[in-house]
Amino acid sequence: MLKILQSFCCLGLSLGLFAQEKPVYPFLKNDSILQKKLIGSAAQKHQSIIAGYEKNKIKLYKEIYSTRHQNVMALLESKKPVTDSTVFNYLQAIVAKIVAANAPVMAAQDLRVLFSKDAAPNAYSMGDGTLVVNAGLVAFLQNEAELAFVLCHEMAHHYLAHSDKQIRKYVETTTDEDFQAKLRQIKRTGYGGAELDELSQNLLLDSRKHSRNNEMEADQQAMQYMRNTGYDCRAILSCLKLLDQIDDSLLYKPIDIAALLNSDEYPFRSKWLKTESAIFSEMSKAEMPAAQSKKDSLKTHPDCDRRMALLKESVEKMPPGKLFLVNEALFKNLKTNFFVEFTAQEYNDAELTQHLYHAMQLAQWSNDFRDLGIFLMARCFNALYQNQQAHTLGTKIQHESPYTPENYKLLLRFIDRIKLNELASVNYFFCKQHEKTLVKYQGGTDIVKTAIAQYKNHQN
Amino acid sequence: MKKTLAFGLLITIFTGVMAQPLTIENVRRSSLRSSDAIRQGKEVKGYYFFYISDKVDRKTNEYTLRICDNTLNLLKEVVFAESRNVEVLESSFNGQDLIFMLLNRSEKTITYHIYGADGTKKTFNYDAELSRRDLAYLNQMYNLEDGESKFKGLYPIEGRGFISNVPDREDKDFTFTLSFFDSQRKRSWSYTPTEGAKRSISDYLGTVGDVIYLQVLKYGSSFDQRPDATILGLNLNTGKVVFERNTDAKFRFYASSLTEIGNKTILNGEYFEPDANIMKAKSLGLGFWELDAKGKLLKETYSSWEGDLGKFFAVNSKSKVEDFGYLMIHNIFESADGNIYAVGEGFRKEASALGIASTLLSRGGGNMSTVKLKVTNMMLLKFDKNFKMLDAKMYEKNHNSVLLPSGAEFASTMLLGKMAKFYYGEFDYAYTQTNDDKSSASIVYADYVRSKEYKGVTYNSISINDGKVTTDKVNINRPSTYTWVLPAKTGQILVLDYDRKAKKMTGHFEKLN
Repeated sequence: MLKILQSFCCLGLSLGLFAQEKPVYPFLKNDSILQKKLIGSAAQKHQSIIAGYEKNKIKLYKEIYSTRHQNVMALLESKKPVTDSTVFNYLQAIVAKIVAANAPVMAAQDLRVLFSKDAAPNAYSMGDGTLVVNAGLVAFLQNEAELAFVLCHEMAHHYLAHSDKQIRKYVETTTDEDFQAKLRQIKRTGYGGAELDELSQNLLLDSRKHSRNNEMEADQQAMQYMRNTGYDCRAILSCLKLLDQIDDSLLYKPIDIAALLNSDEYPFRSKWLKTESAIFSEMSKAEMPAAQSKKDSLKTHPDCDRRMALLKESVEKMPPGKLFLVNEALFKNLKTNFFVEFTAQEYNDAELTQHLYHAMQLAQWSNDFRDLGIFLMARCFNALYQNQQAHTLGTKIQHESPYTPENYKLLLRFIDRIKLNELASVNYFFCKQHEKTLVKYQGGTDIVKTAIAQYKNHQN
Repeated sequence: MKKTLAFGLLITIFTGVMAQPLTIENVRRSSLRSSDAIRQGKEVKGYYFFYISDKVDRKTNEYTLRICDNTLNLLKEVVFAESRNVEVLESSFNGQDLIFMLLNRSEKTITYHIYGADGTKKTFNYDAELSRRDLAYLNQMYNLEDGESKFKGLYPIEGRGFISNVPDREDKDFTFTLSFFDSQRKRSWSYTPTEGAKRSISDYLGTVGDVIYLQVLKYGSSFDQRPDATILGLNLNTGKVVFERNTDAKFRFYASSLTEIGNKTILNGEYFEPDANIMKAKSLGLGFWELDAKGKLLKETYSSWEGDLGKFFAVNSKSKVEDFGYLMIHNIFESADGNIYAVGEGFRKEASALGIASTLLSRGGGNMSTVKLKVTNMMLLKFDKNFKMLDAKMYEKNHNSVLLPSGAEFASTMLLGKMAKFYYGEFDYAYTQTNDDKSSASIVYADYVRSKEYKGVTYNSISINDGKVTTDKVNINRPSTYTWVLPAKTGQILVLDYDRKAKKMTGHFEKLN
């Protein structure tokens, strides 16, 4: 074993010297000036909103808007917004088409529309004109028309002022005489946990119900916006159908962990993935419907089936349009690039198990990013080792639960089971097998060296 | 109030939280003894958390029982109202049911509540009324004011029920009551020895088949310094005495635990010279007694400190290992290769500067002893299947002092060691976790580190994987009010943080290396 180790060490260093290293992500560049502009624009907008409420006696408005603004700034100041000029301009071009087709109802200067490197397949309006489409959603959209519908839907939320209306309703309810009287009573007795819970739960459920109504209203409005753009409105239905299917199973496509990590010198151990008997398995199944129904009642979006049924008749009457109006090639490129982007973001956010799974997907299934997937895997193994050694892994990994997608469960089980010395061996032989690939990337040589050092720790 | 409510909701609306595996809000009070791992056989399969979640009115609290699987996914939550004077003394799980031993101080009752593993409350409770003396004795044993007592008197019998072994007062005698709660047949029995001793103390050793094994010490009077030791066998179904035998054979024996190896019932403990007073004499080594269900001694094996342990460490004629003191055995377990491991911890008696100063200042009237107990290092002993010692290793840790009550200077070090283990819970050993195929085991113990890099509590482990021994240390110095560690799957620990101010309990797993 020591012999193998020595020869690998020499190989690693020699290849490191001659290799032409390439950056890890060559396709998207951060534009710090643009990011500053976005931040400035959001701050300006917030100031104008607050100025409108300065004279208002109800301080709650100011507090709520300030909290909302903090959330906006947390996003804009993070590394998540995509500020690469080509990609950003592409998105603005689609927004401009929608605005132009719906002028004078819409005013483009009110909006900050951006892509975020988040993996969650989602898009949202933050209420102040900041509209966000996650990379994790774009990766699954099929054409530009579907992206246009997503944008129309979020723009509808903004122009219908759903966030402001919700805040107003919340403030009016909580400052209402009766509500305040109830709160005073609870405060006076000091034993009002259950009543307080009920009061806040009612408010929350009422708010979620309104949210679901808002979603349907936004769909209707988005359909109107879409009709004027020239995009094919049938994309509304295909998009909603896709949204219905975009759950974790789509995000966690099957991978063969054993095939990726097996080597002749250190074969993959089946015990790492063996199912564990659980005394609570029967109970878990019995409990799941109840937990699921509670989860559903807290959903802000109505079922996609229901949304499709409400729009279907009108959509089918609309004249055919185009699936791409701005840049088909770029859209297709984005779909694959965004998968890598959100995978990289998961690493930055220390979501190590999600990151490793998506890196493995790239390594196993991607034509363009197979090598990058291998690099990300090795880098993640190094991080897993370091965190496991320092006992800081616990808050950076996920664990199996009844709601975990089956494919992803296997990786979680593997990470849960593998011992530190085994992890070092897996990574060492993985790096050995893929050394030529790894050293092509910036930092790849260091990753190999770290894997060797980690492995050496356990060879005495 | 309004402000808090408003922000609580807003946070829910606008942000997603990268949550820890376990986050429980509204935990007004929780303690070590009301949360534990749920085991099936030797493996951890889940957890329960029992805590005060709200005040209903001046007299009533809302209690919540939360049952989770072994990765902390919530399976069931049970909420009920009970008197605010109720507190959890102990809890246990037997593979099918959970039991909570609740003490109501104002009503002077002990109630046993039983829940199925699915969180459904069984329709029967067991109640016992307490006299003022009982309550005072319980108070002392469980160290109730402290709130974090480690006294253990509730034991699971897998798939059948629970055994409760609690101190009791019978007239003026100090005794114990052993009860069996049959959670399957919904019935119970209790056994209280009332004759033959002014004071009886029992250690529950274990149950094999239908026989409960207890190590009993009987004192003839309050001043008796030479108790008789017997091993008592009770029938699990009836509570009737099956046997009661002395502990004299080739040597005098004092059992501290029971291990089932194959189909053999092995009692483990220290052995002494044949006529020795086991409370005062120095033990000669470790003894292993194989008993049958009628209490008949089938085989006795001994491993001496001087002859066997002396091969590995310097042991003096008083059975004391240099700088280590005496050995308190915490657990004995078998590994897949047939070897047997014993994990223990050292202790020795030392002069207490604080106790001496207190005695001088109070002119001899202080209530603090002039001696203290020093708890020293951990030790792992390895035996073959015939109990021949193969190896012994010491694992150094910070030595902590146990202050003792006045009068302790007259007690033997061995007795003080037993008091520290069973009544004060002052040893650092936490638990041993083995997996079902016995291929790996983790021994976990606490330590306190004062170094430039880190100052605070650590949880240390000695892990045995396929015969290979490794050690690890987890720093758990945190800003929370309490941090404690529970067993998890083999090779992991569950770190629980309770923040009293935020009324929040969080938990996450860390792997032992």
